[in-house]
Amino acid sequence: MNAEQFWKLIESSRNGFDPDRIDGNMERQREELRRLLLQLPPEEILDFRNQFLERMAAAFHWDLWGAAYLIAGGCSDDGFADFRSWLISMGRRVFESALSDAESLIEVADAPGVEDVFFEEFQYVPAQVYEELTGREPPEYARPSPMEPAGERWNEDEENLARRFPRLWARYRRE
Amino acid sequence: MSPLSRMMLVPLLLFLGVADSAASSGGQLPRIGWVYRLEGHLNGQTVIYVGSAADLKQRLTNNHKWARLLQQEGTKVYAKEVFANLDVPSSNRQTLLSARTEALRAAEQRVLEQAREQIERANRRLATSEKETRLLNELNASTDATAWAARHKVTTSDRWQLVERRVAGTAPKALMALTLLDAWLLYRDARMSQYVMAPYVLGDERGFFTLEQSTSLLPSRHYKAYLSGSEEGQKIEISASEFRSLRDEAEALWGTTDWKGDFVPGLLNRELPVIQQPDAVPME
Repeated sequence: MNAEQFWKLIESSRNGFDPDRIDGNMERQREELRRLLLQLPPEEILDFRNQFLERMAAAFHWDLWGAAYLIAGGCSDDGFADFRSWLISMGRRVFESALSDAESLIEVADAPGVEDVFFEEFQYVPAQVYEELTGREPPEYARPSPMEPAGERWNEDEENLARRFPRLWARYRRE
Repeated sequence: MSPLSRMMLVPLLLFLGVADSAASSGGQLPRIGWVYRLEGHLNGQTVIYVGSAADLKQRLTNNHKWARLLQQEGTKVYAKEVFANLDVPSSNRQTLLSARTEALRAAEQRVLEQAREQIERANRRLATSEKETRLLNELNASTDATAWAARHKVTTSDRWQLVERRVAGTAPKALMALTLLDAWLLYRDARMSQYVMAPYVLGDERGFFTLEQSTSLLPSRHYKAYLSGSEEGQKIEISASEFRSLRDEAEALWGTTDWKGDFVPGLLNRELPVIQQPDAVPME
């Protein structure tokens, strides 16, 4: 499975997205991804899982963590994994724009139909489907998660956040 | 206990079966997820990591940032259940998922702060030659944890439960343990949610009383809490063996639940009465 095919599956999983729906878009997307993956042979599900984890690693960046922190009012280490899972679920355009400019998320984080910026369960779908089809847990991914985010570290001090993420700070700062 | 006082045991009410309730009962809120804590060693240093999850089994896989720690021999994984009454309209995004996130993050933040304090205290007591304990977490889970916790009435189970101790470096064993634990807890929760729990009300020559156990201190302490009679309003401490004896006798007469959460009939209570609970609010 190449990147094109990976993103096509992600986009397809978003087919039922309804901006007028307050609750349920994320659950529908998770269920749709499950349905799509169930149609693939196990080795392709593993390819999908590997592509997914590759993007989780690519998004392990201090700028994106800062964006998540400001948008959500805090973001733990586990929270950042769930944020990156959400970022992937939003599709290629949003994902790649955010990687080039984390502050571009200001355009999508509050868009109609976006229920949350954390999507824990989405990242689990490939492993669950693989297990469902084979009765086995997926083999370990060859490239473990990076230990340190890329980019320049920031701290939780307000001045620092305001300077580093001016647009996000202006929108999401907590009084 | 004398035969006479045994005859005076008066269990008034044990369980009431509640029809079709997926919701919490007896004051217990629905479980929305877990907070967990990894404790182990990296490069000769004691390390602690704190996290949260809606799905604990899936969280603790080889894709975890600290998979290396998770797979290491001697690493312990502790977990607490997180309960909440999600206030969706008051949450920042006014959606169910964001309300759940707020509640989980609030619990995670609380646990993170407790871990920081604990580590600070432990490190202050260290001899100069000893390595400090290190918290692996980078950032805070929430800047509004107190408000979020209050908004969603967030609570956790009282004690850390050891869900896994790594004794061999293979992932499948850990995952198997977690799978079983999750499946068992889910099953047990489903069974237990059918019941309204009520205390055994017992009686002796000094009045009616309920049994209470303090679990916040070690070792636990046991009491008779009198509802009537000469000791009304008083708590009289009893021994653990007397507590067990009273409890066992009441359960034998009036029934209990087994380890799976299934009702085990007592001699005088063969089946549960079923009542409707109109204010039960299913979570989903």
